[in-house]
Amino acid sequence: MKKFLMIASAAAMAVTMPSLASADKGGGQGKGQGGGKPAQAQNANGGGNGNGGGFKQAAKAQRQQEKAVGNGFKQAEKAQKQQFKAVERSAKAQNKAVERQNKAQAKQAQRAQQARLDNGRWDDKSSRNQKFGANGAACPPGLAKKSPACIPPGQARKLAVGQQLQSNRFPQYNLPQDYRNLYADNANTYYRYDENGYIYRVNRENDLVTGLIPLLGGGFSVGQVLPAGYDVYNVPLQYRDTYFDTDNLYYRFGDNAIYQVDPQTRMIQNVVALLTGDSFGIGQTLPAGYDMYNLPMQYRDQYYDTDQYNYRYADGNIYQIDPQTQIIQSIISALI
Amino acid sequence: MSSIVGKAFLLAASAALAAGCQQGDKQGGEAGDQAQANASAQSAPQSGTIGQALSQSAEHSNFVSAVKAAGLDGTLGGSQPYTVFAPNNAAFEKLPSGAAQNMMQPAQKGQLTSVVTHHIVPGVVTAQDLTRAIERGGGKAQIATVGGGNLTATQNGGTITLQGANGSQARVTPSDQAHSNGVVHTLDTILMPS
Repeated sequence: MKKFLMIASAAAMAVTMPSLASADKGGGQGKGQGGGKPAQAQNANGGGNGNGGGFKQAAKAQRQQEKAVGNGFKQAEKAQKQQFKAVERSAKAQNKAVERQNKAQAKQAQRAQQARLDNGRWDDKSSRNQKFGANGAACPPGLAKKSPACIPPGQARKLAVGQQLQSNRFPQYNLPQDYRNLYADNANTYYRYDENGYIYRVNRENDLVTGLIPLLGGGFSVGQVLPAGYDVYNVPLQYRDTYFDTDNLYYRFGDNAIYQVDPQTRMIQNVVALLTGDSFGIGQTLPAGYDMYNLPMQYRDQYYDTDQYNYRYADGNIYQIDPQTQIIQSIISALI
Repeated sequence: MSSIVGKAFLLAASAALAAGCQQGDKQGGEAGDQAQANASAQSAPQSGTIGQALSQSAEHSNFVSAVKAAGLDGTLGGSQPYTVFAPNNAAFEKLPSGAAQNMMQPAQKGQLTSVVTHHIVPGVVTAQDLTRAIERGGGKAQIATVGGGNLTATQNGGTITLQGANGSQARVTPSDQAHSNGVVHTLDTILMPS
């Protein structure tokens, strides 16, 4: 009964929805939606509902709305699947072509490598134009060359401005072809590509990162097919109760975003969340860029800055910070 | 209608304050300020999203086109919380002629997305949050964006200025209106990430 009422009210709200949000379809039934699971951190609940209640309801209604729209669009999706099948066919053909190319390049790479070793030199320039997987083959665009070959990005941490670039992680100039004219190494500055989807601008003198050029959207955007390697559900833990796989919808994490994906075509339908790519661990220093209190409204009654504790929100979590040391003391899951 | 709801919020907020003051280690001053900031930040939670608000705003039509071209309109119309510093149409007119159209080309999608995400910040940052952070930081505060680069906020007199990662600067017109998934402030210049 309750479910019916909630769907009814969501449907009523759906009247006011513009076409903007029409692509956002929520996950199906199954796990419960948590409004927020505060840890045993400072409990400052004075008992008033105040700002919290209204926003919790609004966010909950928004999620129900997303679901109602999703269910409503099932019919339209079926008709669209015809089109998507054609796209998938061409994607498969593309993958086959890439595989053939990989094999040819692998052989070529092995021969070249052997020749260099035989000559006793390691020539940087000869490998400059190729991006190798662990077996020597080239990776499809957007995938990392780590071992095992061509795994999805998002495994290594994004560096921040002011951090030091480890030269063994980026031994050579490795920018994607399209960006080489824009960002070329010079006497003072060099550039390295992080498979998470960033180009780092680095000071040659001290190997410190002076800038980040994000390439988000290069291979992961609405209307495009996710590259191979995203078969496994990989959403960060704090988002799993909100974004979980169903028969109609998959969610995949990559390039610091969570994508809503059609399970059959692997086509990205929506970017449901944008993450910061920053690293937050208990005991770590809060990264730069969180000088301001930024908690969503429904959490402000419970977690607010004092001389003893600061609170910051990012990537689905609330972080409790020591204001003096800026060390993260605890992490509170902030489901929305 | 909204003033009645607004008063209800103020009442509830002060009730929360009064009840909460029993805990020994609470800093009454800060808690009071924050509650005030929350209350003044909105008169009532908007049922619409920041995506909806932007699409209904005439002065942000160019930015809305950019957001759509980058495929992020669903994101801003969804459930996760963001604060958007949205350049107004005048900001787009400041670009070199033809640059705005060029940016919308499919081939430029990666670049466009990086510019758009340079204006999106995680969580909810109200005008008061901005001001307080600048004051506590001795005149400067840094904001991480979901695009990767950081913005720097400063204040001169009553005006808040935002600086992008490459040094471009914009004047902020803050908004007190909170939506279901965040807040939208307006900029008079586009901030570049690199």
